[in-house]
Amino acid sequence: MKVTLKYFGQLVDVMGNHEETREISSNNSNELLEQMKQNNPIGHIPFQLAINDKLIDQKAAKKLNDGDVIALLPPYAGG
Amino acid sequence: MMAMSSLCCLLMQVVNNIDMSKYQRQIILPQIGEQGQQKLAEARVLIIGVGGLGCALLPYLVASGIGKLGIVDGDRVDESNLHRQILFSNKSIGKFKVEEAQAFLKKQNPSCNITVDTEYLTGKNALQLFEKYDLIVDATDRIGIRYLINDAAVLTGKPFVYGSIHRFEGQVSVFNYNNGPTYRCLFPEAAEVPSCAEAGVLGTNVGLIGMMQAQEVMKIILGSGNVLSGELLIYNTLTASQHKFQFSKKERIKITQEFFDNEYNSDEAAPKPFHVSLLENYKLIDVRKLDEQPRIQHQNVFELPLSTFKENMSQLDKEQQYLVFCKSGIRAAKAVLILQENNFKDVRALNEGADEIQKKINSIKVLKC
Repeated sequence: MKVTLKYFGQLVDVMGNHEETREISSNNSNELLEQMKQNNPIGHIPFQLAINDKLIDQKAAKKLNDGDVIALLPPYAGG
Repeated sequence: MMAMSSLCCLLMQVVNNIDMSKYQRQIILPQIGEQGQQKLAEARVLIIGVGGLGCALLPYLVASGIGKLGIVDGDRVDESNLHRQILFSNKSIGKFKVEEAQAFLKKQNPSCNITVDTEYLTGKNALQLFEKYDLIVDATDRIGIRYLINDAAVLTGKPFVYGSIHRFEGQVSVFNYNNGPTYRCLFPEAAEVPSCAEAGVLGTNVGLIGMMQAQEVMKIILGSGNVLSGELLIYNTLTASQHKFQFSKKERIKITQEFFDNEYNSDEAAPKPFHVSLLENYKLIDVRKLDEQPRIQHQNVFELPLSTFKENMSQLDKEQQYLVFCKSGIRAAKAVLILQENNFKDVRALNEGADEIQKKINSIKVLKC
């Protein structure tokens, strides 16, 4: 199934993009995050996860569906 | 009774007649009216930080007829602030930001009562200060202080309007509004993220986000529109696109007076402000990774990265006074805890990160030259 990933803050620089669509094999949000952390140097960047514009608790894995939009939201500090 | 209250209303209108004519163009908006203008005149708003966000939002709040504004910031104007902190000029360099801002804003609207405080917000002054205001605006540039603002706002029951930027993106939200979600519901734990000094910032970008905060302040005071409570707005100024994300209230920890005091008011935990003279009596410990810049070169600065801190701690003397720093203070606080658990007598974290420490050391060198 396909999901859209949206990146914000520092994650844009690391991922090289604001947004991408990916074919994923797992429908589990935690497994997707683990895969992303293994394949990209994002482990040091704190972020929250939103699925279809709603923040989720990362401690509880969520089932992903085809077409979901997953946003990775780091805190900002500048002002 | 009715007659008396009508008379009071009439008197109030007469008293405020001059001001009302000044605000006539906004009073004719159906969402404001004379009643809305009266709400603005009675509102008391506290702004924490006069950086890029504060400089953008303050003139509009003052011009709108808000009755009382408090401004808190212990920082002084630096030349590198001027491209975005538009209340200051070359003549402001070296002076307290809040005093320079007050002088500017007083000329703009003399009827606004502006109180300034040249101290930084701390666990010691936050609650007393918050009590005097109806709502709080977070215009700071540090994550750590945001948790202090959040927790003080929860304890005093005040809403706070949040804004922050990363390069060309900005986040805006309103926390603790009518007992709604707080900053801890969005980001439960403090994390280390780049500030403007590290990531870079364009004045128009921070100005836009400050303006969005000012608009939330207006909506809260006037009771109009949909306040951004339980919603995080992210605006990208390069793509002119915005996203809104919903989040709900999650009480992961109970914010009580006891929690607040432990977190912000225990003397051992209180970070100390850096001054170059401290290098004479204290030894400093830099717990950043060895490749993080800038490196602070001084005979009294030790480099002990947090990742291998426990292994290398035996090099330190338990009777010596130490001050610990990193980039934002989070790793320094962790190292301080480790040292205290290992019976070090006098160990504290520094308020400032490596960038500011370097800057202060350099400024002394320049003065000596």
